[in-house]
Amino acid sequence: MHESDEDIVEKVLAGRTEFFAVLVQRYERPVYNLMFRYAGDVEEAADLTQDVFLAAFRRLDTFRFGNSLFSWLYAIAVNRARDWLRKNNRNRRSLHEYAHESWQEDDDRQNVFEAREDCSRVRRALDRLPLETREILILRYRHERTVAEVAGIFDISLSAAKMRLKRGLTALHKLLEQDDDDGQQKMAQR
Amino acid sequence: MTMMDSKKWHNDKIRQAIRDIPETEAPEWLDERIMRAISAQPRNTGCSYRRPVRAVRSHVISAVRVLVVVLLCGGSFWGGMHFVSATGDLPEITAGQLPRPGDLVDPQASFLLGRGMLAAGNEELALSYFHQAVQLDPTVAEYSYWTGIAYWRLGNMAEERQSYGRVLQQSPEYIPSLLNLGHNLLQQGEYAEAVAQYDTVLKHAPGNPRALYNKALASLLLGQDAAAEQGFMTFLQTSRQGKWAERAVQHLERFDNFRFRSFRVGAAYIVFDVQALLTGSKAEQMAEIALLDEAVQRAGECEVHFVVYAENDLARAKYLANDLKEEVLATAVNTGLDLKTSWFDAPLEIDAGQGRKKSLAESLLIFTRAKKDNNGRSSI
Repeated sequence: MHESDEDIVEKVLAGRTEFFAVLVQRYERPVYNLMFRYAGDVEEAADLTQDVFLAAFRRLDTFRFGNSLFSWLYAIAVNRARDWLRKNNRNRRSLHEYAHESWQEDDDRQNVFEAREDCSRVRRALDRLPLETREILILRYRHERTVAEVAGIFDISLSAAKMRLKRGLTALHKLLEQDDDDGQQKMAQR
Repeated sequence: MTMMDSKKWHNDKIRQAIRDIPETEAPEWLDERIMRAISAQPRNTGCSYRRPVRAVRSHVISAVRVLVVVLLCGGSFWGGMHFVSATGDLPEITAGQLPRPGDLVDPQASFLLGRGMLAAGNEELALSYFHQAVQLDPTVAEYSYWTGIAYWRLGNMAEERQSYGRVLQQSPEYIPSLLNLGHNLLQQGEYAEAVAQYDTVLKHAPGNPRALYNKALASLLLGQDAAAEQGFMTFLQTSRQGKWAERAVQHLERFDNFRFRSFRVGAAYIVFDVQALLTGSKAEQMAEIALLDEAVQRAGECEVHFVVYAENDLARAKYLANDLKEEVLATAVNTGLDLKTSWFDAPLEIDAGQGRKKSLAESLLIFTRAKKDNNGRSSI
């Protein structure tokens, strides 16, 4: 039976530490991916992910029941990522260099390939956005968080979150159109 | 106008693409490492005054749960007893049981049961039947091939690949496995390997449309635009109708290549090589005319219109239009072809996607109109 996050948190706080592994399994991937996008290195991302879960474990009693555990955890992760970035002057990892997860006969699979091509172009464009704008867009649309949650996690006002999402989409749109035009110019010059 | 909407980057499409961005798996060892670090932490004493509150809360919740379970059980028991007393009979439980995969001795029976389970969406059971079929007769390529399909449906790409590998060890030219191995590589992001694999397919099955298309797509994902452009054109030499033909035309348009264009003939959209029709060799022109002829025959009674555009050159536009008309009337099998031509000394303005307009200096428009009978009603 699938236990809710709150049930798990209660058990951990009651001393059943082993149940924290369920939360790690549930949220390790999005947290790791966030860290990987910042750090660009497997080991570094793994270390940062571990830091996040350790911090979450230590502060678990500050989690307010009724709120989203994912948002609470992701906020810890975003802050850890920001701290890391302040201390490290590394080039950000291109989303394009991600290892691909396999998704899902014939037309179904073909549609996956076509969507992958669209994704590939969007990823390249996302890569050219300011880092936090990119992360805000990913949190909103990839992880399907509400605007209020996005604002909470990034510690900005609701109106600021809305504005950054709107501007981010507009910038992405322009980059994609520019990418199309560049592609055509490149071909015309051959 | 094409069958599919032109490819615009509207916000919905962008949001969907962001939603579909793949995530990478964390290293296998990470969660264990995290839990080791957690276990080494001092026990979370937290704020001790909160614990009794939470403990009470959890007891309260548990009591509620117990009550709900008791009510459900009691209600079910009462309901069952009521049913029995009302009907005087307990419902019979009958079940037509499928044979257990391990009990089957006929590989073909096991295989067919697997196919049935796969069609019914029960991939796990299908896999068991396929495994049994392979075990009973490992020489039949089809059994291992479908094992691969079942693994793919279950999302196990590694096992899928191995299944095809087993087939190809015995039957190196088994096209379905060669092709699906290409798809596996493409889906796993191994684009260069996918291109090589599709080349292998094409060596054994030249003109295989799926291999041609996906090879072009893999080239595109590799950033090899020239190879991708050529690939889509090669694909369109063999496939002129349907979703993927339309998609290939769109890919070419992004490369500023408007050689192939989709036109509606009757109820169907057909992709034509406009360059071949207007200025191609005799053989190229005849191939396009044959395609048109066939499409018009399927469309039923209709007028076929050619409109030729040649920027700033009316004489040329007229020449191309009349030349094309003569060739079509001379070559088409359909002797009742009702063909009308017109020409303009202006470029053809088209929608090139993303809200862009494109001006084609020399081009052709094809459309059909239903013929009206004497009462003015359309006959299509």
